[in-house]
Formats: sequence, C-alpha cells, structure tokens
Amino acid sequence: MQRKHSRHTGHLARSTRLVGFAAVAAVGLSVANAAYAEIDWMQQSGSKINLLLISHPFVDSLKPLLPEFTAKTGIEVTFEELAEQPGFEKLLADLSSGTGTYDAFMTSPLNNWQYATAGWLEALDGFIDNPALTDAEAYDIGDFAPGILASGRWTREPMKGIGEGSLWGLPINFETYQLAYRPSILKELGLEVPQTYADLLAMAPKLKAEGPNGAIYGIITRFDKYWDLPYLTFGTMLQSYGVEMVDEEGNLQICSPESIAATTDFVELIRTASPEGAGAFTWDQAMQGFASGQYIISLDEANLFAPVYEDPSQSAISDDVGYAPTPLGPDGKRSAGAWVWSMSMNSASKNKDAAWLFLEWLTSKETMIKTHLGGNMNPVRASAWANPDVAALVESWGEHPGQYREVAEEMAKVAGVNFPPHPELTRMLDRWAEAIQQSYFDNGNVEENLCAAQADVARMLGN
Amino acid sequence: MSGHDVEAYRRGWRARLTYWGMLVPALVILFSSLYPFLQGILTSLTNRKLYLQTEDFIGLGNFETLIHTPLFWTALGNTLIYAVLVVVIQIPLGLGFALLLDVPSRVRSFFRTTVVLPLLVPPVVAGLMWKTMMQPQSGVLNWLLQAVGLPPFSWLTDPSTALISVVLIDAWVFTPFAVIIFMAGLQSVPPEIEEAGRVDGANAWQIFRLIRLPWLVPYIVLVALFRVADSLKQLEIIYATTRGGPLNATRTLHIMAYEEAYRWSNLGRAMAIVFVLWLICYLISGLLLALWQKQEKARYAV
Amino acid sequence: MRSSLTARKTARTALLTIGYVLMACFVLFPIVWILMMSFKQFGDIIAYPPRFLFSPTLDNYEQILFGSEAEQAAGQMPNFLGNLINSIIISGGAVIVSTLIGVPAAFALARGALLGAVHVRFTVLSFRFGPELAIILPLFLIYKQIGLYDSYVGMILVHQLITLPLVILITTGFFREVPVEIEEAAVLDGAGIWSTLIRVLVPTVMPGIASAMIIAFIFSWNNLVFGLVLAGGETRPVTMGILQAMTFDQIRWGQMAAAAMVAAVPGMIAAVWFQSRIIRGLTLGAVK
Repeated sequence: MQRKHSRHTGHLARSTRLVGFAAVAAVGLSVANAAYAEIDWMQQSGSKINLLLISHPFVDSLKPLLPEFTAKTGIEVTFEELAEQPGFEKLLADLSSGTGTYDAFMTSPLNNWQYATAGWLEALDGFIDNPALTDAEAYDIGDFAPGILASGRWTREPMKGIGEGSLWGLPINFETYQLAYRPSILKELGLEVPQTYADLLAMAPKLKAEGPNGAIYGIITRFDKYWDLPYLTFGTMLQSYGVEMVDEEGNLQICSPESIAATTDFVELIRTASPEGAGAFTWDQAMQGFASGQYIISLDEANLFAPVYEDPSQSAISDDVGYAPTPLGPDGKRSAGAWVWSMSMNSASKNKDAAWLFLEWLTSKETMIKTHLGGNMNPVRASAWANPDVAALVESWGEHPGQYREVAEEMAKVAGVNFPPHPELTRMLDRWAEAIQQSYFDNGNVEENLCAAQADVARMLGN
Repeated sequence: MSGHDVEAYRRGWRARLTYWGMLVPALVILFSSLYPFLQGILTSLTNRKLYLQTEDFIGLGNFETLIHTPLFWTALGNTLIYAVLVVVIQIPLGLGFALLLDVPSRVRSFFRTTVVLPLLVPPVVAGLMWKTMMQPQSGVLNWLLQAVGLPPFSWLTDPSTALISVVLIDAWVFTPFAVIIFMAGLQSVPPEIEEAGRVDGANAWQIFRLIRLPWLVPYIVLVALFRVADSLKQLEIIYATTRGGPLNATRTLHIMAYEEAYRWSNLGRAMAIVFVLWLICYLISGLLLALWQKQEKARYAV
Repeated sequence: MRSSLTARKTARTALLTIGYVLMACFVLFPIVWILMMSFKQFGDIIAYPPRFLFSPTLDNYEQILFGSEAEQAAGQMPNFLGNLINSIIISGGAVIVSTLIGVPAAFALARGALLGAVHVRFTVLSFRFGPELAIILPLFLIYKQIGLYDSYVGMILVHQLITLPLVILITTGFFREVPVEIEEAAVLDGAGIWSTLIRVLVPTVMPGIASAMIIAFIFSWNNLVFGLVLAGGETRPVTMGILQAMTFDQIRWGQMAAAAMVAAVPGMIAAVWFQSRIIRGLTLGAVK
C-alpha cells in the first residue's frame, strides 16, 4: 500500500530542513523591487480583526505592541488567548463552522496540512505580491530563514509537495531541541555532558543527587501520548538514530530496526533516570520540573524553555544551568525536530486585507525584533539574529556567555520537519506515541508495539 | 356549588387544557433536543469528517470499525469499571458520613453546611485542584503520605493507578450527593420503629442493620441510579486531569468520542461511539429506575 | 455499670471525633489547600516540601481579574473577567427562562392530575441520563448552520437541558407539599388556575422556587461540556476560562487556583447561606 506512494514521493519535497540562521544571514537575498513605494497603512482604517492566539511567550510579547498597530493602521484588533489543547480544538471547531470568527490565528505547518486540505486557509502569496498591500522592499521576504519559510508552503497533495505550492502561513518563531543540564551537579558527580546517546545511557544510573528539597532525579523530558513525542522531542532522538517516518522509497519506518533501537534506549533512559510518573509528563511538567531544580538533565526539550530557566522569578536554577546540543546517534548522526509557530489567515475572513496588513506588520523586521526582546524565541529572520539587542539578550544564557546561542545555532543546522504532509498526520503520530508509551509501561515488547502502530498508520494512509 | 367548582377546577376539560398548556412549552423545549439526537444517529452512519466537505453514507461501517478496534473495548471496559467503582466507593462512604451527621453533636451543623461544598464546585475545577495535589514529585498528597511514613503513590501518572485516582476525585465531588440523600432517608425513618427496637434491647449496630438499612434501600437504589448514570458519561473530571491517559487507562467512551471529534475531526465515528454509550446509559439507568419504582411501590403498598 | 457507661460514652466521642476528622480532611482539605495556593507566590507554590506558612499575595487574583500589565497596556479586557460575565449571562438567562417555563409545568405536574403525568416526569428525568455529546455534537452542526454557534441565545437554549429538568423536578416536589386547601380557598373566591398559581401558590412556595433557581444556576455554571463544544470567544464560560489558565510558559498554578476559587464562589455562597434550602431542594429534585 505504501509502496504506491513512493513513486510520487521525492525526498526533498517531502521534508524541509530549516537551515541554520548563521547561514541565513549570509544568504539574505532580497527579492525587493526598489520601484515599490511605501504602502498606505491607513487604507483599512476603521475595520476590525479578531485573532486566535495560543498561549505562548510570543503572545505576551505581542500584547503590548498591539496599540502601535492600531495607531499605525486604524485597524482595531481583538484576540482570544487559549491554552494549547483547548485552543486547537476550538480552532478546528471554529474553522469548520465557516463563520470567520477569527481573521487570523496561530498555527503550525503540521496543523495547516489539515486546514489547507479543508480549504480553510487563505493562500498568502497574492497579498505578498500585491504592491498596494505589501511594501516588498521593507518587508524583505528573503530575510526569513528559507527553510523555515518553506515549511509553510504546500501543494495540498498528501505525502508530498512540502516547500512547494502556496504559502499557507508566515513563521513567527521556531523551536528546536537541546540538552539542558546542571553544571554544578554534573561536576559534583564527576560526569561530563554526554556527547552520544550511548554516553547518556552509560551515565544514566549515576544520575542522582540529594538537593535541599529532597531527591534530585536524573532525566526529565515530556512523555505524554500525543504526537509531539515522535514529532518533536523523542523525534529528535529517533531522527538521530536515522529514523524518518517514511523513508526515501516511501516505506514506513515506525518499526524499523533503528526505530526499535531508539525506542528501547529511550525507554531504558527514562526507566533508569526518571522518577515514577515520567510516563505522563507533559511539556509543562518537563519545563517546570527542570526549572524547580529537581532534575539534572533536561533531555531533548524545547530550547525556548531557556528564557524560563534563566528567569529567577520562575526558576530555582537561573544561576546553574548549561546547554548542549542533543547527543549523537549510533552512527554519529545528529538530527532534530522543529516546531514553527506561524500565523495563517482564515479563508472565511471578511476582513482579509486588514488581516493581511496585520500579518505584514507582525512579521516585519521591526515588530519581530520587538517581540524577541519581549521573550519570543527563537527568531526566524536573519535581521533579528543580527540585531545587537537580541544578541545581547541571549548572550548571558548558559554556563558561559554565548552558550545558548552556540547551541541553538548548532541545532538549527540539523533541525527540520522530516515528516510527510498529510491532513491526518497528527492522528498517525498520536498512534505512534501510544506505541512508545505502551513500551514504557510494559505493555508488550517494543517491536510488537511499534509494528502494530505501523500497521494502523498504514491503514490510515490507505484511507 | 363550591365542591363542584373545585372539582371543575381540578378535572374539567378546560382545566385540563390549561394544565397541558402550562406543560407544553417545557415539553417542546426538552423534546426539541430529539432533533439533534436523531441527526446524530444519521451522522453516525456516515464517514463525516470536520475537515472534508463531502460525506458518504456507510451504513453500519463505523460500528463495524469500532468492533475491530481494541481501544473501543478498552474504553468500554473503563467506562463500566469507573461506574462500578463510583458506586462501590460512594455509597458506603456517603452512608458513613450521613450516619455521622445524624448523631447530634456540637459540630454537626457546621459539617452539614460544609459537606455539600464539593458538590457545588465545578467538576473541572475539582479536577484541576486534585491534579495539582496529586503531582507525584511536587504534590502535597505524596508529601503527606511520606510524612506519615507511607510510600509515595503514582496517582494520575501511571496506568495502574490513574483510573482509581480519577474515581477518587469523582468521589470527592459527588459523595456529598449521596450524603444528602441518605440524610433525608435517615430522617424519614419512623422514630417509633427505632424506639421499639431499642426497647427490645437492640444495640446500635443491630438498629442500623435491621431497621435503618432496610428502610434506606430505596434511597440507596436512588443514589446508585443517579451516580451510575452520571459516571457512565463522566467527561469533565477526566478532561481536566488525564484526558484519557496515561496510555489509555482513563479513556472512557465519552472521552474517546470527544477526541475522535475534536482532535481527529472524525465526526461520524465520534457519533457512533456516543450512540453506543447512549444505549448503555439508557439500558442501565432504565434498569435502576425500574428497580427504584418497584421499591417505592412496595413501600407505599405497606 | 456506671463506669462502663462512661467508657461507652468516651468510645462514642472518640469514634465521632475520628469520623469528623476524616470527613474534614477529605471534604475540606482540598479547598483549603487550593485557597492557600491562590494566595501564594510562584516560588512558594513550586517549593517542596510544600509550604504551609508563606507571605500571602493578592497578585494571582489581580492578574486574573484585571489582567497582566501587558494586557492592561493593550487595553484588553482579561479573558477571565469576560468569561465570568459570559457565565453570568448564560446561567442567569438559562435560569430565568427555565423558571418562567418550568414553574407552570411543575404546577401542572403536581396538581393537574393529568393522565401520563408520571411518564412526563420520568421523561423529564431521563434527559439527565444520556451523554451530553449525543445531543451537542450534532447540535454543533445545526448551530453552525442556523447561526446560533457561539451566541448567548444558543447557549441559553442548550443550557435548558440542565436547568429546566432541575427547576421542574424540584418545584414539583415543593408544590406537592402545599396543602390543597390553600388553593381551594382561592378557587372558591373565583380565581382561575393561572391566577391561583401566580397569586397563591407561587408566593407560598417562593423559597422552594428560589432554591430550585439557585441549584439550577450552580449546575449550569459548573458545566464545561456545552461551552467546550458550542461556545466560541464571544460566549466562552468561566469553566473554559480556567482550563485556559494553564498556559505555555508555566502552569500558572497560582492563577489557576485563584480562578478556581472565583469560579466556585456561587456554589460556596449558596452552600453557606442557603444550606438547608439547597439540601432540601437537591433532595426533593431527586427523591420526590
């Protein structure tokens, strides 16, 4: 069944690498046409737009900037802010209702594959190319990291065509994954930051300590039953073991020998070095647990938790935290998942031009830099990384100056969306995550679980 | 004349018309919910998905798929176990509390007031409150357990303990319902029967066992009826705490249907699950309702 | 003999004390703990071992009711306050509609001696027993079509499924307790059914109607599922607002606790002030 897809599935078109922002700065090619004049920002004055925002530091950084937008354009902005899960449920309900309640909303490529299939998204190319609406020179679309921008393009054909076709969303930040560790405790234990997963497995039994508030455990990472497990965090480990959901011939790799090895090692790591209950940790518990000082290593977790770790009002470890790239796989490979928060426009919106002006303003160089300074990590524009204020902000993070930035740059080189676009990909990944959880909770062996999941996913693809 | 008037007021055709007129708006509102219900049954016969404009009639296809989905059977099992645990825990606990509150004491009125509190707290709030307290490492419950020398418990985070933990939250919210029904039941025990028992030299246990408990049977059935019906379709506490996890330990049919619809946008299959659940609710509560009516009839016949 | 009596009395007191302590722990501890949490700063919340003594702060309440500084700067009403107002409109509206429709219906059921009244009662009761999603998932599609999705009217209508059966069942119980003679006196004075109901019976059972309204209000207020499926941003109720407090950069436990306390206020006030009436209402709604 899957073989049938293979003929149409070119590897490059299926996945997208984000390309490090260090490299991006050098590329910086501009499609600007000097003939375009500044646009009339007041053209939609008096209209109103409504946004759906998913709670995120980005949102906190955006709120104080909204009056600036209203002053500049005369467009009134209202928004709703929801937590992630209820937020995406509500978005699905609302988009399917076709009422256009939200003119624009926060989303990501993964979610957009379903929304675009349904016809709920407005393609953005027309707005970008319209000189009356977009000042191409100032907007400078070539300033976006090409890989990150390309992850928002798709031809709407299942299993292929990512990075091609229409642009369905504009990136506002991206996260990839890293190790965070407690330098003082590793030193006390006489351990080094692990370079490979084998190193980490070997040191796992030694990762324990006593802290002022009781036991300090070895490893924390999210481990819930949802798609973010194989897609993002554990996905980073999987990909470093050489596993992609679909290989170049179009075969599912969920129960490949590499996947079984990665899953076995992961389960062992968690069993050895994580406390009871680790099998139900969500990202928030993973972040809060590490910030509270109860863990030595945060394994392959989002690098944008760093602002929380570094903030003394939210963290007990702000003066004792270091960052490192994720460990290397058995063949010395490092690869990483990526999450790109994007803004998309509702095709049922009644204020599309006003909504576009908002998106244009929001993702402009100036506004993006302001959000980064307000805590929105990580930048997706080369100009933002080059900005001295942004650079100064992240400079202090880590065990030594510049550590966070070095690690983030290293990880961005290998981060990518290595999954085939499909409107029901989240469901398939949920099923995969379930198999990983079953293996942790001793529900059958790893191979059985993964192969059963693969069979189910194959069935979903067959539909 | 007057007797006749009262009779006409009560039974005349005009009176009847007026009474029905009073009843009709309420019935219209309640019965109008049958329309979406029937629509839902139709949807359960299609492959309707939220993100596709088209839908095809697939007969009993969704139900067939469910039969071959192991998760469906897990969820069905969880649903039934949840309901059984609720009854097994809440009826004895509620009875104990009600007996305690039946004994005159200085603090009784304070506790009669506070015992209803959990029932009036939104279940989703209760879920979040308990989830906070049940955190395995940082939660206050494990700290308390360790303070009295017991090992920590994994609560909501392990498949083997998650369901019972959710049931415990359910018990916190809804045991007060059992308590107030049983308090009413205890107050309705005719004092002369109890007095007679005491004169015959029965001790407190015998009075409970031989007089009060039999008297309370219809009340127990009533509590079982409401608690079973509500717990078969419990959604809010689970949604606020585990959303069906870890693994699928707390995945009940209602939660499964919700995720099928709003996580996976598969509306047709979601409706099929809901319809199966509806059938179970209807059968079980119908059974208990019949049992209760029988009890009531027996009592009033005496 | 005397000493054994004293011993028995002591044992009894001990047993009672143990019972009350257990009950207090089980019933009250969670509420007290979350109440404390709502007055804690973040550092005190994540501290382990848990802190029972801390310097209290009103920050959490300020944040959820008046918004963060950023929200204030943006002139945005904090979501939670909007959710509170939505809940007041929806639950208040639903209870008023249910009272206007349900009280006459209850009277007809209690006094009408109608053929099939028993069946009607059970039918009304049975609306409690089905899973909500059986009705509201398809209702979501219907509401979308007729434009009632995310509207107060739509929400008030669907909340009738909660409030109307409660009002009918509880007030029927209260009506039944009124001696028939009171009505007969009114009828002898030439009053019709409606005027008997309005002038004589409603004033008599007013406390009962009030407790039915309070109970219906609380159960409507506490509901999450309807809001989850049928409410959008315009009408999102307070129970949804609380789920929202768990956000990206931290689980805002303190704010969640404060929001939980605010959301539980109607229930708590009712429990403390109208205690006996609520209990009677709940009992009547179920038993009679």
